[in-house]
Amino acid sequence: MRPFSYYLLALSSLLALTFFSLLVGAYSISIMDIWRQPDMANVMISSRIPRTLAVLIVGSILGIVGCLSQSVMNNVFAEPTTLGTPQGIALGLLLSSVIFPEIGLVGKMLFGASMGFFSLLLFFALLQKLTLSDPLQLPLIGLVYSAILGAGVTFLAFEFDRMQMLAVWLNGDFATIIQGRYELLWGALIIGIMAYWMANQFSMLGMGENLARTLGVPYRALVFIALAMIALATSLVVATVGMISFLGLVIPNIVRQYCGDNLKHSLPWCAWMGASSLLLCDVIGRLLTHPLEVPANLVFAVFAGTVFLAMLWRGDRRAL
Amino acid sequence: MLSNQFQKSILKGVISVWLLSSFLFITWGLTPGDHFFLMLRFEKWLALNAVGVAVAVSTYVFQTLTHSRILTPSIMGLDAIYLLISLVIISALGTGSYLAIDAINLFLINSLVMIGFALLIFGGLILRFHQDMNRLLLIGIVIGLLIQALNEFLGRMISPEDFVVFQGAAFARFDQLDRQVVWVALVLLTGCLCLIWRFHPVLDIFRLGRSHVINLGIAYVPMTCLFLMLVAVLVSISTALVGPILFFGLLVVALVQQCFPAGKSGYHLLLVAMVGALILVAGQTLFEHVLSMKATLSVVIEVIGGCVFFMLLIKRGRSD
Repeated sequence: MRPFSYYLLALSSLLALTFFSLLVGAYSISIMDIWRQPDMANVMISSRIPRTLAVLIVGSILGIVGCLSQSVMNNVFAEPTTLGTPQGIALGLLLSSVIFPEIGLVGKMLFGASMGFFSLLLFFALLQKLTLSDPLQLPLIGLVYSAILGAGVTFLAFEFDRMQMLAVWLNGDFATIIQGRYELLWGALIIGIMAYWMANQFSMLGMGENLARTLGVPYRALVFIALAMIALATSLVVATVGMISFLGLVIPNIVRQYCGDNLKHSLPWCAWMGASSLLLCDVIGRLLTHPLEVPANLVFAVFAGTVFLAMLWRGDRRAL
Repeated sequence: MLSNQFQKSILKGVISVWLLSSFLFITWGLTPGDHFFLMLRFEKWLALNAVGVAVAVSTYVFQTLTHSRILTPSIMGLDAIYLLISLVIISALGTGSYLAIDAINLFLINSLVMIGFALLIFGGLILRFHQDMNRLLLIGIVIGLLIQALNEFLGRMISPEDFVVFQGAAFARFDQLDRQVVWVALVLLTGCLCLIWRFHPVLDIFRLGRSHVINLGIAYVPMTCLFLMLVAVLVSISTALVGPILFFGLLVVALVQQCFPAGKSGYHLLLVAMVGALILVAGQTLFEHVLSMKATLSVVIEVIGGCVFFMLLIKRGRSD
């Protein structure tokens, strides 16, 4: 098969999955109903279409962001959601709901997103002080940083009685997505497209500081731009739909085995694979306990966590 | 090196503070006439001590086995497995029959399954990755995350009534102990402690490293398995009593190792057990009687323990 037919196959499978996702849910909808019954058209426009779009955007953005951060930090285990960003966002949501509760949903999300951005920057600043002897130390330190932030957030949430709010908000559940609740994701999508546009420059960052400088890349400026894009896109995603664990970690590592380190080539595949696997998990989650749901995040975490464990266990130093 | 006399007086000091806080914990605000409340507090005091000793000793033994100051059984997800077992039983048999099982039988079943898990997973891991501590640690954390996701996943699959039953077991709460299991737990704890004490000279040799253990003619694999089994039982004791606590064991052992790096294993074991019991009893006295806060001791312990973990990781990153 030529590359063109790969693209065709990928695109058609994603389209089929999208189509299926539109029809599955608490109400099963057949195609005919949409024209015959106005109620069903309403369900489509206010719930199914926003939800499916949200899953597609979130999956592709997290795949792109994971791939980008692994390239920029030169570490195959780098991934913003394991580096304390969600906990920063949780802190932001909590503070905004306590200090200025009147700013509304979008205001809270934006405040949360900016706190997530700062917590990621803080982590990078911290990282500059350390010299890592082993690539595996990065996710370890990140996970503990998240755990400490998370414990602090839990303490505050407990004091202000906001535990339930946070748990529901950050669950990685697409059931709450309706019209008017997901529009911030378009911002994340724009960042994703920008990342693809700048992919050639970012690829050079992955070769290390010395080589990148030799190639004439303004290293520090570009790293800062990349980090800002990563943090913003992740924050927008997490503040809107919550945590999707392991996606940014597992998907780029699988894609890299086939596509190599050239971001211009691998980013679209990361986006495709992230989107289609997350959509598959969301559909499975909707079917498992029909008419109730299992959040897509949980379905995905169970699959991807197993894959990640298998990768680590095999201990292939070159691939991981 | 600190003198023997000094070490002994430290131990005596810890024991006397422990006795004092125990006295305060049991009798604060009560008169000798309140038999019922005194008895209630006494059982709670027993349970707190059991938890403190079990967590601290199991962490110490586990760290000696893996030759690391950062790994603990709960970071490796051992107590998440405990919750998984109860969830599987609930979803397989239903709440009715789950509640019909005697608390003691349930506890024993749990302990047995956990021994199996510990031997299979952690035995296999330690034997395979004993040279690559970062990988071992990361695999442990990912197993923990995966089991948590699995727990939540199964939690979504069971009915809400079943879930309420499960939820009671899922949070670390020092103010609501399961009193039925206290006495069985104490018997098992005593047994485990006796066995560990019987073999504590072997732990001294394990601290020298794996090759020394083998060179000195000690059966490495059987001894590792024996200690792992004991660790599994100890963890199931503490989880059965109060639920999972992540960083407590690490905090206690790090404290003792930092102050007395050169002590013998026997001394370490005694001190670790006493400090573990002391922190829980004194902390609970402080929070319950002086500050009148209920559920926050576990959060405070998690935050402090998390920070200690973080510093240990960073320190190791520097020294490598």
